[in-house]
Formats: sequence, C-alpha cells, structure tokens
Amino acid sequence: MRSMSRSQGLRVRRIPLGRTAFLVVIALWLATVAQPQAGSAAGLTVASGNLTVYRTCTLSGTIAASTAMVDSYVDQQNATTNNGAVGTMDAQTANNKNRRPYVRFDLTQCSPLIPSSATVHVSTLRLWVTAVPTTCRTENIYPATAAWTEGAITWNNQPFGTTINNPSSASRTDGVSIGGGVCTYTTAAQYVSWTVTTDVTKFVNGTMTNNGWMIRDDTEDANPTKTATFGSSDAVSIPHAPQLIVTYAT
Amino acid sequence: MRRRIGTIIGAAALVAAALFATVGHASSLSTGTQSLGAGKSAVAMCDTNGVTVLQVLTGNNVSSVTISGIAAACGGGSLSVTVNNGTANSTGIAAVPGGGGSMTVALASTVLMKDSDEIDVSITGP
Repeated sequence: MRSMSRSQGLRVRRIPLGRTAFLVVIALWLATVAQPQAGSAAGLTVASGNLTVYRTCTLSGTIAASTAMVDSYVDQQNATTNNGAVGTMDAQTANNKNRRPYVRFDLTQCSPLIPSSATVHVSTLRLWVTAVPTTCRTENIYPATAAWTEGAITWNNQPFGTTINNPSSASRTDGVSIGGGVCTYTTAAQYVSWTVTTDVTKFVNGTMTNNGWMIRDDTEDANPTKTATFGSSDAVSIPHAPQLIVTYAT
Repeated sequence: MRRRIGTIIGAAALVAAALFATVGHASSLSTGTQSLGAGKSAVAMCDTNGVTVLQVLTGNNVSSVTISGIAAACGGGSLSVTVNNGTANSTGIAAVPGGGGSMTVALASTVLMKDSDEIDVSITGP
C-alpha cells in the first residue's frame, strides 16, 4: 500500500508538469504561427485601366422662380427704366437706342459646390434666341465690373456706364455672330453659346468677383436698328432657359 | 494543488499567446499601405483637356446627355454619365466611338431639369 501510494503520488506530480509543458508548447506555436501574417498586405497590388472623371454643373434660369440666375437688359432710349421682369432681353444697336442684356448665375447653387482649387475645363453661357437681326452682327460678352441687381439696373446706373462702345471690343471674353448672311447663328429658336471659361475660372478661384456678364453689339449706335432678342428667365419655357454650364475636375 | 497551478500556468500562456497574435495582426496592416499608394500613380487619363456636356431635354426632363470633345485616346472605352438634380438621379453607359469625338448617352430614366443639375462623366479608357 505504501509503495502504491508513492507510485500514485509520483504520477500525480508528472501529469500536471507534462500538461503544462504541452500547453506552453501550443501557446508558443500559436504565437509563432500568427506572426508570419505580418507583411502579407504588402503583396496587394492595385490594377486599373485609365480613368477620366469630369463633373458638370448646369445652372438654369427656369422661369421666374429661379434662384440660380438673374437677368435684365438696359435701354438707352428709356435710360431710367428697369426691365428685370421682362420676358425677353435685347442686344440692340441703333443711334441713341442701344440695348444691353445683363445676366448673372449664382455658382454657389452648384451642388456639390465647385471647390476653389478645381480646374475649370469648359464653361459655356447659353441664351435662347427668339429673333435674329436682318444682317449679321457680332455680339460680345464682357464680365461685369460692379454689382447690380435684377430689379434696379437701368441704362444710367449700369456697371459699364453710359459711354457707347464701352468697354472696347478687344477686351471681350468672347463674341458670336448672329443674323442673316454669313453668320454662325442665322435663325431664331436655337441656343446661342458664348465660351466664358476664363471668366468662370476666375470666379471659382476667387481672383475676380462674379458680377455676371454684359452683352453688347460689337458696334453700337449703328443705324438702321438691328436687334438680337433672347429669352429671359422670366418668360421662357424650361427647355429654353438661360444656362451656364461648367465642366471641371477636382 | 500543483496540478491546479500547472493548469493555471498553461491557461495563462494560452491567453498571452492570443494577445501576442492580435498585436501581430495590427502591425501587419500598416506595412501594406505603401504598396497601395504606389499603385495610384498608375491610373492615367485618356482625356486631359475636358469635354463639353449638354443636357438633351424631352419636355422639361433630361432624357440624355451629349458629350463632345472626347479625346481620340478614349476611343473604344466606356463612358458613364449620371445626372443628379438634388432629389433624383439616373445613369447611362455607352461605348466611346473609335477616335473619340461626340456621343449621346441615353439615361435609364429621365430626370427633371431644375435650377441646378449636376452631371458626372467618367470615361474608362480602352
């Protein structure tokens, strides 16, 4: 009985030591096996074809409720009259009867907002022409140099003043030919487009204040009267709304 | 008593091993990002000077989009256009004609034109 007890006692001591050793070995093995996964992510590679992404914001003067744009025209013959609620805008040359449209689009209405660091690739201003002059005329577009409001602008208080043919044709942003003869736009009921990329780039990056644009005949005070008429945001149908289209990349 | 101590030591070793293994996984993630960053430079553009985008309307809704000025290098690729008016959006996808140029992409559904519409164009080159 005594020897049996000793023998059983020895066994009792060996079993826990062996189990402990076994568990320690397993633990070390687990820790070792887990480590080799370090660095496996370094094997990942990203394969992609070439990708070109552009975003376009289109601002439209969709009838009188538009919050994205304002427009009007000024009339030398009625120098104190505001035409902000009129459904059309005239670019007209005639002795002492010149007319100039003004338009401004609110770029902050773009959603998402165009970041100031964006590269503006193409920007186009479009007006729906409802009547063309009988002879071909060049209509120039200029960035307005001072603030104006749709409900108050007149010939007398317009940003460019009352001097005829001011500013000079050379300082225009763009010019398009409208009317009969050899012209780009010879008929009514279509969009007329000016490229205003340089101006919109400055509006976006903050180097020029967005006061919109003024459009005038290349040679004002020319008789007989020649008029190009455009739809304004106050009367046109949605498909004919004035538009500013800005295509950019971030 | 010793048996119990041995079991406790073994269990403690297992717990320690599990903890070490977890730390090992976390450190492995940070080393992999360098290779991913290097992959970014491989993505090129087939058109670099922009495109002209015009909505095509059916009534008061945008039904398709005309994209012009697409570089010849994009010919044979795929162009995706999405129109979003702030409350609704729709996408159209079409193949870029060989030589680039101009194309019109029909939207899956029309989108009402509003004061402000966003149009996203992405071209996956050939």
